Formats: sequence, structure tokens, C-alpha cells
Amino acid sequence: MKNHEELKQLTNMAALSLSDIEAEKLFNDIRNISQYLAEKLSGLDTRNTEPMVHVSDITNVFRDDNESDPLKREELLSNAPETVNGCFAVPKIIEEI
Amino acid sequence: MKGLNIRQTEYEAVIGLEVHAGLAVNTKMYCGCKTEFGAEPNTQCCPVCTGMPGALPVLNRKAVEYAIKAGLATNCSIIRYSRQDRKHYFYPDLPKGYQASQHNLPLCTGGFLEIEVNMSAKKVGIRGIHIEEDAGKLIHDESGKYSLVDYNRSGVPLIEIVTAPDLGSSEEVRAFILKLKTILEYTGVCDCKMQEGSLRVDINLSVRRRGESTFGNRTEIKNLNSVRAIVRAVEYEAKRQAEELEKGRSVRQETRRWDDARGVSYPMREKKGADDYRFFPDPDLCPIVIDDAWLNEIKSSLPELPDEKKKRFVLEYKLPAYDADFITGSKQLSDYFEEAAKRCRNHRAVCNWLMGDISKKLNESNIEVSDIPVSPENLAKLVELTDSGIISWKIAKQVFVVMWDTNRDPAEIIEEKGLRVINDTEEIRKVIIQVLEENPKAVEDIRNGKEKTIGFLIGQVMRKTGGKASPGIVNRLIFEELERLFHE
Repeated sequence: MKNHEELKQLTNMAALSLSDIEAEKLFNDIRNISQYLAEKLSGLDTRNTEPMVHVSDITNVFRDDNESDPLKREELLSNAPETVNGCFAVPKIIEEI
Repeated sequence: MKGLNIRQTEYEAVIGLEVHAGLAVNTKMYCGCKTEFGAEPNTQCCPVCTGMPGALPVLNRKAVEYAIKAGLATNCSIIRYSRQDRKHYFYPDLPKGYQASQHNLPLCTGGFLEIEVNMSAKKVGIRGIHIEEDAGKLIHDESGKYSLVDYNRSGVPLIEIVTAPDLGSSEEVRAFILKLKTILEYTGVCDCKMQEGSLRVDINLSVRRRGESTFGNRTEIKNLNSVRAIVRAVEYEAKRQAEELEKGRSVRQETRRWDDARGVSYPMREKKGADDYRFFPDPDLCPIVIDDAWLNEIKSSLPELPDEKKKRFVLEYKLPAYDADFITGSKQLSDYFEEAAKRCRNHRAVCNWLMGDISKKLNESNIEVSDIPVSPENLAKLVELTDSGIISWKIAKQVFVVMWDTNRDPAEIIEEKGLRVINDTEEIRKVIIQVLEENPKAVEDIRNGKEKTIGFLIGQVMRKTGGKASPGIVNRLIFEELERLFHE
């Protein structure tokens, strides 16, 4: 991580708001971690390593197109801070994506 | 449209489409919740499709097969090793904070569709087709305090079909959408009920001076769900951009929304910073490997596609090319046609009913072909009854109206209402004699050489018999009777 601008972009995308003290601490942590990783990686010989497409070696895990029971609506909504008419109620969204 | 007409200017539009099609499967992409449209909010949901912690998604095999089918039907190459990626953004209709999609290794790549506009054929490139999950639906709360979220649609399987920027006009866009829609219907991949949102289109459009090879700044118009709205939005946007350039201004690269009621597009609120979806391979979802056996199995399940069917209809049923094109333009219509055509001899007549009275009724009542109230069996019977001279063409039209309302057997309707053609010569002769007696002036005119008046007399006979008299017999007898009168 090069500067605080990058951190700001990252926290924006992650929808986090940090105090200046938290930001400073996080900036240093991330920088240290990424430097450590960069050092480790640059020491590796990858000339004969195939690019990895996925972390898993398992392929083709599927289900058939068969219905299963849904959650009861009361149960589904039971953790919601607010509900209206069987829906999750969230702060008003003005523009749709 | 007032103002600048882009067709008459030095500008041309460059258009590419992203089409989202809801797959006609029973259950969602990663769980067994139903995909049915129109259910009570949040009654088709489970921990997987609402992003509860610890839930494990498992891919619906049929969704993969449908995506591959769509790829094969649009001349794509099918990838053998595919992967699903997470696309991240925050929005309340996306409970996981990301959409499972495909970024680098979509199932299908490099296809095309052929369209025909103004008698000339054009190939439209298809860059790729990938699978992804739909988001939930936001409902606006009447109190204005909240937005309400219904996750029934969350996780519903979609394919996104991305075209090359090969389209140049609203006519081409229209032809492409209709062609694609037909193919998706034929393959059974998507029901294409646009009013239910199962086919949604994003338009990427820029304009440039004719003959230029570089692209202008483009705008994206999101989420159009009717052919009419797509066509209007393309026309509006091309004109708007050409006018901007004409005034010496530049086109802003932005996302716009189409307001169909006002017939205008307008910019959506700018998001801070560029989009960064931070795609990465979804670790919960295993790679998809498509081997020869599986691919061949899917290939062999492909039905006859519209272009082939059109050729067959011309050969087998002797339909004119235009009619065959019309009928095969809809899978349901072509199925209906074949059901009826195999039950009667006059295939052209079946086709004429479908293109005439039935299409008219469908437009008037705004119903789908699948909901035509007259069964193909009964239409075939009506055609046979008309062909064999039991009822006249005119009466057939009356019978059809009753059939549309009741789907009853036409033979029953004819008997009940006494609509059978009158072939009884003596009965018809009696009516003719009566008509001649009642219209001495007309008879006199004919005697003086005004032969056209015969048509009037025939009309009177048909009126008296409720249109049921056999026209051949009426014609023959009316001359006989006139001759007899004139020789008296």
C-alpha cells in the first residue's frame, strides 16, 4: 500500500468508516503485511509453476433442479432490524443501480 | 421525432447489447428455492439465497446446461474449464455483498447470430455468454421512510449474453432481439416473458462520423424490458449524442436510465470513484469441467432451430417464405401450426388463420400464443369444414368468434346454430324467385344491360339465407331464373 489515498479507496469500497487513529494503524498493518508477502513471493521460483485457476481441485459439484422447502418467512425475517409487509426494510434508496 | 434525424446526418451509431435472460429452471442457481414469478415477498428464500453466514451454495446443473444450450444455438465455442467469480458491490438487493458471476472464463465465447434488415443479412458477433445470479427486488415504501427488499428473485439463474458492437440502428437492434428471443424460446432456455422481466437489456451506444474507425464516448442505458422501449431508447440516445457532437460538445461517458413514459434518457447519479468490482474466483464454487460426453449430450438435446424450421415449413407445408418466417418466428406459434396442420389437408388455410384472425385477436386481447383459447384440433376441424364446403368462408369467420370464446367443436356450433351451407337447389330457387319479385326495378335494369346489378341480387339472396346459401348454386340459379323471366 503506497499511500493513504489507496487506503481510503479500499475502506470506501468496503463501506468502512475509520477514525484517523484507526486509519493510521490499519495503514501500517496492511503495509507491513503486503511487504512481507511481497518479499516471500519474490523469493519463490515460479518458472515451472502452472497458473492456478482456482483454489479447489474438486470440480463439477452440482445439484439437480429439484425444489426444497424455503425458510418460513417469520424465521427468515427474524434477524431483520425492521420489516414492513413481509419485506426487509432498509434506509430509503433513491437511485437504483 | 423532432429535430435532428440521425439517418440523414454524417453520424452513425455503434451499438452493443448485454441481454440478461432468466433461465426456465425450477429452482435457483445455488439452492432449491423456487424461481416462480409473482409469489408473496420473501416466501421463496433460504439461508443460501439470502446470504446467511455459513450457507454453502451448490450449483444447479440444469442452469449450466441451459447456458451451454444457448451458446450452441448462437454459434459459440463452449469452454471446457470454466469458473465462477465474485463481483463485489454494496446494494441492499444483494445480500452477500457480491454477485456470483463469471469474469474471465465464461461458459460460451465467440458466437454470432445472423439477422436480416431491409432484405440484407448481417452477422452480429456474440462475445460471450456467462451464468450469474439475479439480485433481489427493491420495493418503494409508501411511507417514504424505507426501501423494502424482497429476496424471492435473489439467486434466480440468469445468463448474460454480450454482443460485439456490431449493431448500427434501431432496426438492427430490434431484429437481433427478436431473433435471440426466438432462439431462447425454441431451446427452452428462457420463457422470454419480457413483462415479467425474464429478458432485460442494457444498451451500450456511441456515435461517430460515418466511416471513422475509432469509437466515440459511449453511454450505457440499463435495464430495458420491452422491445418497444429498447427501440425508442436507441433512437433517442443516438439522436441525443449526435446533437451533442453537432453542437461541438463531447458525449459524457456515463450510465443512463430510460424513462419510457417521457420518452427520454437521463444520467443516473454518479457513483464516487470508478467501479471496482474486485472480481476473484469464488472459493465456495468449484470449477466446471465440460467433457465431450456431457457436451454431446447437450448438443443432442437441442431442438430444431428457427432457421431450419423455416426451411422445412416451406418444403413440407408449401408455405410462402414470408409466411414460414412469420409462423416460425415464435416456437409456440410454429408448434400450434404443426399440431393443427397434421390434422387437416389445407395447411395454407391454417397458416392464414394464424396470421389473420388469430394474430389480430392476440394483439387485441394482449395474450400469449400459449393461451390461444381455440385448440389446434378445433382449428383443424374448422379448416376441414370450410374446405369440404359444409360452411362458407364467411360463416367460418362467425364460427371462429364463437370458438374463441368457448373453444367448442366447430361442427357442434354449426349444427346448433344451423349454419350449414344450403345445397338444396329447390330451397335456394324459392328464395331467388322471391328476391326477383321484390326487386322489379333491379330486374328491369338487368334487362336493359346493367349486368352489375346481378351482384346486388345475389347479395339479397345471401342476406335472406343468412349467408348460408352455396354461392355456386346461387350464381347458377339466378341466371337461370332471370333468363326464364326475360323469355316470359
